[in-house]
Amino acid sequence: MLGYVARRLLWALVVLWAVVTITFCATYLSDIDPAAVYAGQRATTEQIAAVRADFGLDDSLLVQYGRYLARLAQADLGQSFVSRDDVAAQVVDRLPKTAELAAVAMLIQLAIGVPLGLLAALKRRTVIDRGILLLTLLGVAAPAFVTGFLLLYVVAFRLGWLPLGGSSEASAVILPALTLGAAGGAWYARMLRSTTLNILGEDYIRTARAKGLAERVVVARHVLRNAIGPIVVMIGLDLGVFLGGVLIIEKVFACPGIGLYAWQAIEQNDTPAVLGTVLVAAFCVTLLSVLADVVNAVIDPRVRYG
Amino acid sequence: MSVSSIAPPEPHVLPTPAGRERGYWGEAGDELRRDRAAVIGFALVAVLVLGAIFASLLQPADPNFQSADGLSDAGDPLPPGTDGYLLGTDGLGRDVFSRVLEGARISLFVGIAANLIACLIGMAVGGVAGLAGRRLQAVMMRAVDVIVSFPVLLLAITLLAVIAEPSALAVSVIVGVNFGAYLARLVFVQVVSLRTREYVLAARACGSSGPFVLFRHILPHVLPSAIVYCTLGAATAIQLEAALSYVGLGIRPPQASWGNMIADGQPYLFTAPWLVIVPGVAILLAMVGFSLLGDGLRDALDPTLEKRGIASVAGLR
Repeated sequence: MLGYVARRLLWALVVLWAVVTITFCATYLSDIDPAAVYAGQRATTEQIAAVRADFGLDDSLLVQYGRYLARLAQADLGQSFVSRDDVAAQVVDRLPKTAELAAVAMLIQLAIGVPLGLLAALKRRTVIDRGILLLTLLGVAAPAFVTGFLLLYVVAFRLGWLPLGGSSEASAVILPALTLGAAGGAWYARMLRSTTLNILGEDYIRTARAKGLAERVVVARHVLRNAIGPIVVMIGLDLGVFLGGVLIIEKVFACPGIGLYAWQAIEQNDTPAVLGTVLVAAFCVTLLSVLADVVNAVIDPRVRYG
Repeated sequence: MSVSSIAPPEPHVLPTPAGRERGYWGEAGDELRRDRAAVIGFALVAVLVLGAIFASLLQPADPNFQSADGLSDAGDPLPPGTDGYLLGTDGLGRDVFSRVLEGARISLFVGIAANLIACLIGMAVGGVAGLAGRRLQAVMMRAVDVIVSFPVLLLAITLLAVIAEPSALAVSVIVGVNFGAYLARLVFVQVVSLRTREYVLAARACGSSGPFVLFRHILPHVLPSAIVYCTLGAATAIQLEAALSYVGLGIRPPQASWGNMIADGQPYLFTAPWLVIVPGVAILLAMVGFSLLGDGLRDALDPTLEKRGIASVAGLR
């Protein structure tokens, strides 16, 4: 088990290193001269040159790369070109909002996906199954921003039940979370349906039924426990992505989280802030996907030796 | 000279039972035609393809033309069904129907280009790695693993925001490289399992070169999975392009794409909701079409392929 965890962590490090290298190369290849942006529009050539020397931008590529890695190791994501704020501090500031959205969305996702997926599989080839399949197809196919606008228009604008975007009320999290959760829930339901169908055909299910277990027990003890693996992996992946900033949904609903910060940075050509948020997102994704794999290995010993 | 006097020879063809001996592709076609969902998917994809090909014939107006007639006296966009504007006009008086058709061209372009690139990369990398020695194999497949582990939307944003000039081609290349990595894994696994088969060994023993064996004897086996993969991949590529264009990192205005039409329509959500609904429904139908067709193709061509569905990667949200 420890060996498995160590292997996964090592691999996560390799992926993160690749991400860091890609982002570093992106900055280096960019047409935007960081010194010119930092010095401001009215800066003279000498001032820009001074900034370049100050930041060590004239050093060789390898020296800069080494310094970049060393800074990252201390969780230093650099300074925003625009506001001169520390990017890491800005991201940490926005983390609670994004985490709240991520948590609520995940709960909705599971509350929609697990029952629908199980129901569809157990009622295979009935009207219920077909209905769920159609509904989840639409849920998966609709881009999140389209569902988001639909909910905004109907629930917030027409019915007036919930606040429109950009609100600081506690209930403001519901619509974006519902948008995320509907798409994710539809996806989970489809996934769970197909894994459950595979499991229902297994010998151990026949054995469980043959020894006279109630269907309820068969489903809870034997089907669900075996079907949950892929869902656990998806939860880890999703939570990682959500924590790194729910890019599109935060823009649709103007939620003041990491995603919105990233968009503002993109619009202002604020390279350190863009790359900082990308790195944080990549970090969350890799870390949580390792965590999900470990949890999965605890639940299902077969994974460890796969 | 009269030919009619010569009686044609009696054809000596044994009557074949219907639906039999039609070969792999024929049977797959039959199965696909019987699958109602796949037929619906095919129809939706066909509408998209025809709309994109004949866009310039079908467009009542220049999609970028800002017509004064296209706005009400108060300067508001006209609702769908207004005289001459089937789907209404947008905030600049442009014909929404013409713009949706223009968007179909972009979506189809990205859907096809991304998957062509993915196929080239996937077949090349997966095929070479599958036949290569142990060390080269490890290097290639580790690189593939890194690309697969990296969320595609983040990668696209990094590259499009910092270095590449956003365009339909840039989006296709980025998405294509990412899909190509997934496809490379699929091809790799098949090549490794096929390369020690007897008929492959026999071909090599006869002196066939590595590339010849790869193209003649191995890749044809991978084709069905690749077709299924690319059909489902087209749906994902279209969704990604829409998402990127929506946030301003895809197709740049004034060129219409479904994603940037929604971004343009966002300020009018409560006064002219069709500006968001029309392109939204277009994306939805394209996605449903490619997914249903892809699912049907999988059932017909390669039922053992992992149920991937639309790759609704969490990163897309």
